[in-house]
Amino acid sequence: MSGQKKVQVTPRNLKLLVQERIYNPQLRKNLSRATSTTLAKRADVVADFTQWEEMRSAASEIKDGVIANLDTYLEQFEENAVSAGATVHWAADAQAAQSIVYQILRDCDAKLVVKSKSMTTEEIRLGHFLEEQGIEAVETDLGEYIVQLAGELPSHITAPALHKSREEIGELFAKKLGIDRTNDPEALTAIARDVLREKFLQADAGISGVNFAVADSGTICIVENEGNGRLSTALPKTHIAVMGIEKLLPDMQSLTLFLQLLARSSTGQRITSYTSLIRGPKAKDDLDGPEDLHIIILDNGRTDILEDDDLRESLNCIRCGACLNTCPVYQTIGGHSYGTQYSGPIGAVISPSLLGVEEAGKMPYASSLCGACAEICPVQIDLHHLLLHQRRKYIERQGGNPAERLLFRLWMMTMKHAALYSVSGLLGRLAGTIFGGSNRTLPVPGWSKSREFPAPAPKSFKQLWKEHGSER
Amino acid sequence: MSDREYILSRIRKTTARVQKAAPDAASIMGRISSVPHTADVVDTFIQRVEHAGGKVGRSKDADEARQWIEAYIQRYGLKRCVAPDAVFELLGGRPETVAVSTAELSERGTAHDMQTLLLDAACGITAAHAGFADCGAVLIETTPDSPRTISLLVEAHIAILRTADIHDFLPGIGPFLQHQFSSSEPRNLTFVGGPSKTADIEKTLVKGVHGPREFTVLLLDF
Repeated sequence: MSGQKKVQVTPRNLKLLVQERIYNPQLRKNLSRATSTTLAKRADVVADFTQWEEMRSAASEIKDGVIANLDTYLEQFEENAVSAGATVHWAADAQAAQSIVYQILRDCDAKLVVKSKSMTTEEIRLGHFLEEQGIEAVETDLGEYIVQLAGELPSHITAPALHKSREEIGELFAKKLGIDRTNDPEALTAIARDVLREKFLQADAGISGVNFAVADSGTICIVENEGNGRLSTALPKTHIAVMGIEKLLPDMQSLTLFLQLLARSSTGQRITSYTSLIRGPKAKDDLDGPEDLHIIILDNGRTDILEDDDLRESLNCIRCGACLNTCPVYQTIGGHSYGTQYSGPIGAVISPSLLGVEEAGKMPYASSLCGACAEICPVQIDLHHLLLHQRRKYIERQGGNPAERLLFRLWMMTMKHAALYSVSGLLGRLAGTIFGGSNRTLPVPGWSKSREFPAPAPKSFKQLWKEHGSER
Repeated sequence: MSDREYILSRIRKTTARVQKAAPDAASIMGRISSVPHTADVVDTFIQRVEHAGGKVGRSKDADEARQWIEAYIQRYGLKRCVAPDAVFELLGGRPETVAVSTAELSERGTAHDMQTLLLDAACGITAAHAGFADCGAVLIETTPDSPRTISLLVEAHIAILRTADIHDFLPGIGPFLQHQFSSSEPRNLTFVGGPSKTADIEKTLVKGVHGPREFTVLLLDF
């Protein structure tokens, strides 16, 4: 079972990762069930609004403006968060963020930490880092808990264990938790509830991500369904929230719009079970809540994205995962094939900047550029064009493949000259009659192993035009 | 250079070059909020809470509301209900089951004692500021007499909502929230839109992952 293999974090071979998974029928089944269910639910609830398109463009406009004035909004956010009693830290990269967290945990002598689901902490491998320092860091979102037990990366932004079947999860729980084997989702969830409830009650600190940060009040917003986000930020004495610099919104009014878009786009819900607005630690007379709230503002490559006039709009992303669900490539190969924390179209756009070109430079090639991602994106990020842009940057950096360059030069020549175009069409049709048609494959490695080479039309468009043009 | 200075100076390099005005969020939001949303606000609200796995009860006066809660507690075999005194006042008194006010909870002792009591088949009742028909959610607030955990560690959570406080569109709560967050005091508010739930295993819905298995809105028509 490929799902059980440990995912490497160091340089990966995209092709190998894909090959390992593309012929796995169980994985294909799991992916298809999860993505189609979510897309159908999304379509249902998006239909509530006649003005959905206006909502998308309003959100995109707000986000564009915030990102173009990010310094002002960040300073405003910081000032307001601090005045409510939070401590704000800044981290230029993953390592800086890790040491800030470590310092905070050491200061409060923390041995056990509960984590609520956060892609940003996945990005900086925080759980992994803390385990290395001898601090137990337990993922409490059920999906994250499953992938943590399996020693894997999440395979989807909002549904981390989407690649696993109930049988695979049943086997994993039996093996890792020493319980009797069951494949019943309800029973498996109850087991996780018991294990994790103990952790919640004993934890010294809670670590969360941030879905939105509201600048004019210094509020962080956490969106979730399970209640683990609320428990992680209600029970332990210390709450650490990690957010990317791009999470800001101007005010509460804008937040209400983004909440509408996020829940509908991500899980096909009208709103999630719990959307928490947290400003500052507990109030003086509160009976529960953290004594200390630390907010870590993380760059880690985001200012590189900001600098790039084309890529900048990818900072508008609200991590809903809709572009993953709708992507024909993601639906076929799954999140792990990308080999990184962020997968799918948005993952392929931002990962080269966040994780480095060495690590993720080839990801933008895992796309057919069909544009379904841009069409579904609630903040109208032009994803497929950004994928092309990232490919161009990659080629510019790597110098490209000489054979490929020659081929495209020939192609350009042909497209520019009518005579050459006609001759190549003729040659193409001739080749087609030899290689094409049913059960014929083209002898080009890696290209036609599982595809038939289509038989070309017997006549060119120009010929047909000549013959039938007069009939119009 | 500190990380703060480093990040901000890098951002300023771009923002100074791009020179784009800050968004006029209020007018942008005005554009979408002017569209009418739902015809029957209350019916839509009820239907959408139920769609999200919650339940809705309705009462025409305080007596009916109190009896409804008594029946609820018996139906689910709960041992007690925990609520702020303000909620008991809304209900015209305590239900005739084991009712504990949060003030008594805090007098009783440590945070651990409070947790133990909440974890033992309790039902937590909180007042809601508002409800939203477009998404079927209510807005609750943490206060000294309404702690986070009474809607979290309990078996069932009931939110009490005045029917008149249901908005058709979530952005309708913007001005209220803006006001709530206008001071510099710590604040903790939560939109609750269903029971604690997950679909992480094969998209199969399971209720009560970490928090309450049941979420119910009791509408007060008075």
